Amino acid sequence: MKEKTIDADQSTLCNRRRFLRASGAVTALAPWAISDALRHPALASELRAKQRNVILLWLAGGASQLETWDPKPGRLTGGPFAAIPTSVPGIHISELMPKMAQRLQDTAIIRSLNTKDGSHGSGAQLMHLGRRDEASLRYPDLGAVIAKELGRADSQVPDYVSFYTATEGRQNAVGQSGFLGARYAPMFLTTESQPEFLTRLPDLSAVDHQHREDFRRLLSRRFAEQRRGGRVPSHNEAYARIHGLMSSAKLFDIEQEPQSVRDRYGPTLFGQQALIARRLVEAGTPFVKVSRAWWDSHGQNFETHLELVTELDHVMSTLLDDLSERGLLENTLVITMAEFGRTPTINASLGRDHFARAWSATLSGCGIRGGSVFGKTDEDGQHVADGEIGAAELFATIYQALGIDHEHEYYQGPRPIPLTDAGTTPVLDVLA
Amino acid sequence: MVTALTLLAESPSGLWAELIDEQIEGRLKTASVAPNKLALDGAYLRRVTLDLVGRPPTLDELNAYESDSDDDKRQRVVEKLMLDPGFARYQASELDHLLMGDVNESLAEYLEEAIRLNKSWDTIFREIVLAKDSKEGNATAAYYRSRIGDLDKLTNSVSIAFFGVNVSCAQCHDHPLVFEWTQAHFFGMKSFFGRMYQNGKRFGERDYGLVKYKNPEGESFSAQPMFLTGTVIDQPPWWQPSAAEKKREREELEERKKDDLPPPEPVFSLREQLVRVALSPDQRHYFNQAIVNHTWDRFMGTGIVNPVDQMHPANTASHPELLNQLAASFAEHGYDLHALIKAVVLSDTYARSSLWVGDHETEPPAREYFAMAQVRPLTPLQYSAAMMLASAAPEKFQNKKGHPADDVARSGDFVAKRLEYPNDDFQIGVGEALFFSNSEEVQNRILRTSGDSIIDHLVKQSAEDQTVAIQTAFRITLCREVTKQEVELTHNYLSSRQDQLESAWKQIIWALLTSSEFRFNH
Repeated sequence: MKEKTIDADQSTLCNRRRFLRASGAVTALAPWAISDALRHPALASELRAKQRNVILLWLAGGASQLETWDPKPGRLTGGPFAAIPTSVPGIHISELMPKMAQRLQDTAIIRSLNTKDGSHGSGAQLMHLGRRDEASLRYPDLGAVIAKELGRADSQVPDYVSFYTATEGRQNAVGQSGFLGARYAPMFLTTESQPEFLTRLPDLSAVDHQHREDFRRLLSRRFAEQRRGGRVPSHNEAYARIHGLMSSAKLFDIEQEPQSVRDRYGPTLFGQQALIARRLVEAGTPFVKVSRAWWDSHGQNFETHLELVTELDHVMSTLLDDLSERGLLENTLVITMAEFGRTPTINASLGRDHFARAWSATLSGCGIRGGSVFGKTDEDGQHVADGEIGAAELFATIYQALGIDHEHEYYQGPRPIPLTDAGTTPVLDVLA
Repeated sequence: MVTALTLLAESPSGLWAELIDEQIEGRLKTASVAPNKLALDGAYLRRVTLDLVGRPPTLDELNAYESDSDDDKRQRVVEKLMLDPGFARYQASELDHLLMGDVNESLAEYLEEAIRLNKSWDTIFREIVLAKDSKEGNATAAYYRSRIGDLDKLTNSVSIAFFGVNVSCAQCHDHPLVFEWTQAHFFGMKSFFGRMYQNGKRFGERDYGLVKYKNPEGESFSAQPMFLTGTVIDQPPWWQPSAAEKKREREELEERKKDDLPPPEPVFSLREQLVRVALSPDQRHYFNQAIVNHTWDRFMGTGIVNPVDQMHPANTASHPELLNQLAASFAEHGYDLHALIKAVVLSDTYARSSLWVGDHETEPPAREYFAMAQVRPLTPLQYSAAMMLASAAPEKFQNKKGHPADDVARSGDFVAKRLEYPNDDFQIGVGEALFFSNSEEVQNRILRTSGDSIIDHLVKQSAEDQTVAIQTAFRITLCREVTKQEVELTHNYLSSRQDQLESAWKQIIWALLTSSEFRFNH
């Protein structure tokens, strides 16, 4: 049955009296049904043309730069794996990444991170916030800032989604919207790839679900009209997004994709969540984080990395190809990073330990000069030899790549708070 | 004849309530701003019940208050609410948020007892700041236990909670906006805690040690214990222990760790010095004003100084005279928190309507005039309690034995834990809306049909008289009369759903409980 609705006059936020008069004429079944103008997608697709997005592949526990982006073949610290040439002359990466080696033209490698913090908890916090919380000021993390800067207030899709299925290290990677408030908190998915409360309860009909929301909105509007300011608008904005978010439930369902696409990403959870991430950014979600754990290879580093890097190579290259084929890569920035890298020195258990002094991250796609390498470590990878940067510079680079001014200021009371700490400069060499 | 009203007038609460209204109305007059009228009975009762005991009134409480025609009914209802077990519990939870909101520990149990006994605010301050650790468990030790690993954070937490001063900016450099606050102030405050340390599971305080810091140019300094006012504490001479003394200390601490004993007490405690200086008559204005401003902010929706953690000379108060006098008198009368809260909620300033009746072009008066009541989001405890209360049939609260409303109010933990505490920059997130829209728990526990629920009650009532049922639904949830249009709308909907009346009422109750009018305190 098609539901009959009345279009509310959006410019005056629906004159209540007019509504009441009109509602008398409508079917008795839905005396307060108001259509949501936002259900009409024309406006949305126009806005989407400018949409920029981020997919963060979070390598939780700390991936080894030596087995990925900064190999040291032939050195004592190099380990058993070779380096191979890439599609960009002069750049070599680990032989564990043959697929990315063929597709390096869209990716910039930063080999000179010195983030100075080798503990999982505070290192992860630093690499989520680009700085540290103060005693009484909690900063928003990268996803929350991107959600605020690139999301739309009336967004019909979630604007910050975060996957972290493993249990190891999950408490280090919880999203934090800090002083930006709950509006920008992530939809955080742990045990399942489907978010909580996104689908209607089976014993509640779609019509009932819609009617009670319409009634709620009508009651609330009367209240909001007679009271100014404060937090009342955020309450109704949150409910106004429910309908869109619930219809976005199918974005989390990879069954909606052709089998050939699912096969391409592969049967792993990481692959499937990367595919969901692509579906989300395609629909307008500005920030998706897909976490893969647990890279913390204090022992058996090479077995661990053989498995995890091979998977990363496959998923990352598939994701870049898929985004590129859909015309999304020029608007989507794909990041790989972790809380830190791993020690060049190989320990007695054939493991590598925590190492924040000289490690690597990558940026691909939107706003990035692909096929470039920034920074250099010394021949054993023990120190940064050239181009040392910290978390703040990496974040400033990310913001600039997305067209966001990294010096833009938020205010906490009278205090200005720039997106990155004062004096930070982005790495211009990797920006397009 | 001595009436309750004259008794009130002579009490500190009565005097303070008068002072509040005098000062607020004085400024309104000077600025030619007209204050709002007093709120209707239902609105006032809902507001004050939520604020004092953390739940809305029951239908019986609402009926009784509205039919009471005595002049002093506001005072009587406030006094009754302050005797309710919910009062100590809810005020404690609010103070716990002030004191422990930034850490994963709670002082709620200690605070509930303290409020119940009406311990004075300076006593609470003493018992917390001077907390000692012990195996037996000290009621206030959680304050330090959760912060001992980060003395910077501890310094700032104490400064914010007890002095209304956020000194964290001055940690790295002299405060850019407030010239009075320098790095020396931050590290001066930190010095009072700088000798605290952890030994095994227990914390303690040493007799030696110095806080050192660097300025942005990299020069090193030694801090002296210095209060926010700039007063430096003299301390007896002390010396850094020799290697041998260090070794002895370590051995003793190892022994104590094995026996799970706290470290030995210092001969000269810098924490005691902080308490002494902070409460000394010529220095205590930070301490006095911070709690008055915090209480004001909590009940009025905006502090006299705003934000409440920026009480410094460069951030002027909207009503400096009021804050000075109220804070000074509060201190002189023994830091009586009950009296302070009572004064605030009995003032006309608190009791004004939140309704803005101006047209769309004109803005309401600025918040700092306190010309009208502010709209405040319910706290997680208030919202969950309100939901649980509204989900029950009104008969449930007609049992005069015990405190049935309080019992029901406490049963909503599954809702409260889903909600965020509304801080200054609070916005309602979509997570809350999704939870209320699609969670099974909400459907099964709040919109339940268990025989004793509001839905059951309304279904029965609407069989007799549908209009009465509609009136009941609105009075229970929103504490007001239903409007004509609302009656009409609800009638229309119900008559289209006569075959499934129970389900229809569920949708109506859901809409009421998730409406903005229910979600906010106003």
